[in-house]
Amino acid sequence: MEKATTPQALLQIIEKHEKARDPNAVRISVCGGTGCKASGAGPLIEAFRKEIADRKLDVEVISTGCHGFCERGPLVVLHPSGVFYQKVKIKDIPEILDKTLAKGELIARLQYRDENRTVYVKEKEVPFYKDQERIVFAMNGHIDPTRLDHYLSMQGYRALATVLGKHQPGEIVEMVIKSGLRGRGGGGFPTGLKWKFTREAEGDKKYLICNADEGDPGAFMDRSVLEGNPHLVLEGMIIGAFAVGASEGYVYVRNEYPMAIEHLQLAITQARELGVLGQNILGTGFSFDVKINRGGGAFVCGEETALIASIEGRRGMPRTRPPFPAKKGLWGKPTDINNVETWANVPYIINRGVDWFTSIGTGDVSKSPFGGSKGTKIFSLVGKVNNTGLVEVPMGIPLRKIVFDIGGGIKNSKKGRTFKAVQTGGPSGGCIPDAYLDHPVDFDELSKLGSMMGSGGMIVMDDHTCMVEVARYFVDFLKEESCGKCTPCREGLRRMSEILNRMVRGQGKTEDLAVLEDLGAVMKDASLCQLGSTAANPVLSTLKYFRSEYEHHIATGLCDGRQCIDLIRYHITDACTGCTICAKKCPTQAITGENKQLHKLEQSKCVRCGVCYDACNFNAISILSGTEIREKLGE
Amino acid sequence: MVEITLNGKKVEARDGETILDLATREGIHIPTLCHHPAVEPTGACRMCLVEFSMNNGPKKITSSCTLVAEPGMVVETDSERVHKNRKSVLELLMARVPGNPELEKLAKESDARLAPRFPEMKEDCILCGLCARVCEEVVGAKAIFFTNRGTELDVGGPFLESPEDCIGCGACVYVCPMDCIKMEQNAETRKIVKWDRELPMRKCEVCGYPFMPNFQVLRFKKWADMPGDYFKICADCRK
Amino acid sequence: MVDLTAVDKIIEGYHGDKTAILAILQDIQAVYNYLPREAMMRVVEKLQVSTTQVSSLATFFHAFSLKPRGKNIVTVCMGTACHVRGAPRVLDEIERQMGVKNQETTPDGLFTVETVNCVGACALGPLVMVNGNYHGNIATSEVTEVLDQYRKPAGQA
Repeated sequence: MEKATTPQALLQIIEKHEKARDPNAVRISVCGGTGCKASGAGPLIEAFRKEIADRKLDVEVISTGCHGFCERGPLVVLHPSGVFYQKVKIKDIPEILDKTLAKGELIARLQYRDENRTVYVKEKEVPFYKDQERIVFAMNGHIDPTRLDHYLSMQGYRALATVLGKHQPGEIVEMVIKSGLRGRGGGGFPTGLKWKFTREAEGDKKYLICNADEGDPGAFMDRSVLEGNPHLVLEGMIIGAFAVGASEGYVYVRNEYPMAIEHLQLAITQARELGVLGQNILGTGFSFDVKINRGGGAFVCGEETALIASIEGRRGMPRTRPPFPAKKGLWGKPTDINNVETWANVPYIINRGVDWFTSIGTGDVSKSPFGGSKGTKIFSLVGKVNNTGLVEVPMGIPLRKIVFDIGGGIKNSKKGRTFKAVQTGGPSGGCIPDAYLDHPVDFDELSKLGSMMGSGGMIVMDDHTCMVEVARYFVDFLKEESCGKCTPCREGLRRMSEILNRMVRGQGKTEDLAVLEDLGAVMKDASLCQLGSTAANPVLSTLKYFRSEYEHHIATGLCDGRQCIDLIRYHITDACTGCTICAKKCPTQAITGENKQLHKLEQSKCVRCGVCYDACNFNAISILSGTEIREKLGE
Repeated sequence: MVEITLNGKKVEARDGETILDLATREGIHIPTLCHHPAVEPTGACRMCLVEFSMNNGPKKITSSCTLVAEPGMVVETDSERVHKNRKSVLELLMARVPGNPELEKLAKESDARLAPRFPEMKEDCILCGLCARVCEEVVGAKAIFFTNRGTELDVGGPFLESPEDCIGCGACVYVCPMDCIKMEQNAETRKIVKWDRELPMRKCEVCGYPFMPNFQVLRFKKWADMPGDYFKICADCRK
Repeated sequence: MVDLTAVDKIIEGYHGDKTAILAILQDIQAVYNYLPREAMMRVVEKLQVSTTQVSSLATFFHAFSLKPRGKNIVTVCMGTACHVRGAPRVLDEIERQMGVKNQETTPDGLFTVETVNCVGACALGPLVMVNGNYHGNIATSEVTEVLDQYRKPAGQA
């Protein structure tokens, strides 16, 4: 790659690559994201390349970043036609080349069909993609994240060339404030204001950090952005560094994300070669360089003061704010911290302008960046929903649209499963019930519902999810992940965990609910950091919306979700056809019965693993709980 | 100087002064556990909570030991919300360390529950970390610190073993608000019981009093570049 | 005795930079599969840091193991998405088959069972990772099949 020595020269390089990209060229995009790789995309890409080389075809096979629809992987998209194939295997390759590529014939078994067996031909027609608005993810699926020329051919580094060629740092800060961009990592604080504070803070040296310590269980958008388009994040960071006056940057990324680290490292090297990173960037005298820091597996390090402590080589224990990192951050110097998705929005705001960005989303940010939620947000839609994966949607979209249109509704709805709640905001978020599904999704609305945006985890729960157990899960998660420094968080979580673990075993007491609420109150008010002050949200929100489930656990030992293993019994009903499948699969031989005879389940041997329930094709296994156990089993 | 409103009264704070220091100067009592003027404040125990707001913004609860006075700050040290939170913190601490006189004294002062609603733990330490902070910031030995995290958090020597860098100075014994770090000493040895650290003593060549652990002498010489014979006699005989 | 030449090499790679201590410990674990005490003491000596700093870091970050681990590391993802899709049942089944609990190693040293709070492959839950290889959408009844792949003697895997 030739080195650009002026902003003008960089623009010329970008234009050369843009022109070189033929939109009508025949290309095969194979998703090489972690999800698809887990389903075998790695060998598939190699096999595609080999087959095409063997046949001497003029077709480029691109190993792209994550397309988002991970559950259906490996995903393959043929360009320019846009034909979309899912769950593609190596043995399908010759047929794809012979039929679809050569003759335009479609292969039915590789096409996506929804629950109603409707077939969708092109990627953008698939319901999972149709209602999405892909900005941050626009290039994922089109470019090879290890190829700088691909990034350049899609306007890559154009925003940086504009900024360094035409603007003063203060103008960029103003632009980002006016755009209303708010932090995608959880807090929703206006990015431009953070930049302003860092820019105005006194310090001989300033730092910039990209928070890629995606610790929220159930969220993986930062991983996909870093894996799929690392230059986009870097470009955002370089623009930010120019705006705030930072000379050194860090990307703090989870060690569990090896591909993200590898792609980012490569992008840093390529960016230095291009002359957009390092000393005297594009000959403007502005210098900035980036280092990668690997996180050690601590959810609390997503909190900015804990993250800074960790970069400094100390335990990730938060300290009280103020002073905020913008004034006193890494090594005591002014430091700006933004999350991966936030950085990735920056180049688009520069390229397309503030008016375009504010046209997407909710509220009015013309007077204050707190006035609304602008742009898009990526959610990781997972759990008991048909289409799982990453979805990028405009702020303000109703929850129902995400869960039922994009997500395709509840998994196994034909077996009677129904929607119960959607959990947003990660472990510190809350569970939102059906009654609020038509609420628009943005920073402020989710807070009003007692949940939060968080980093964008969206976990769908069906009627076979116990909300007390969900609360217990999050409390036990946070009990381990808390740093333990302050009393309300450490001791509060300990006590909540004791109570909830008793409750899921059927040993709850009536007074427990008031104690849980008292604990929630002190944790919320008095904890030292955000982890502690939001740690009670899962308990408080489930107590608010699903209080009866708690009461049932306490009063009659009824687990509404039929999930708490001490409170349920599996029971074979008269619908049993004697097919023997449950008896064969039972790991503890608790089920006996002759072929075509009603089977019997020995309760004393049953470990309640649920294998029989999953295996039964005749709905002949019921899960009893509460008074049903005595009524049906006489226990 | 910075003007703030403290319990409804306009007061002047020194530049960089914390609300805890300011309140103490103004004769307002705020209970503390993990605070000590010799070390940097940390805000861990959450006893010294106060309610504050900036420029008529939302009222928040935070630790007064870490809150530095800023112009336009309005602080309440005595509001209902402050007391409610302090009481809850005390209840949690008392369930962790039952029967501790210091905690019981604070509970009586603030009218908190004397019988926590939780199963009693048999701990003697509230994990305020003052011992570790003094060991690092004042003594410079860095012999004890935190281990593990979350509800498993503990304080002590590396890997919770006897700390080999401990010089037996007893600073941790002195500052512990729970009085749970005990020191035992006889003519030959000194032992910091909680850390299981036992050190042979050096006797004064003049009066014969065992005035300092040998290991402490070695470390002091290394840190301060003292003359070889400086620690042969005790401080009293040196006068 | 643990051979510490790899530790010295790692520390040299960071030019003895104290602030790189977390990265150094991660690299050491990558070589030894855990953090041997001797290796940590070497870090204390070479970087001139306190033993408490190393112990406090090694026990704070859950990615570190202070005990030797088995030949194969079986990591069950306990993230929310995996949890609601039955990860606890998968973990139960793995523990039952292995005869060891979470964070323990089988007596033959072949497997260590661990959990992780999300690996970011949430759409594929429940998910089990063996030596970094992903096995997504695992049913409890498929556990045996997955583990058997790693039971085979070397060369046949």
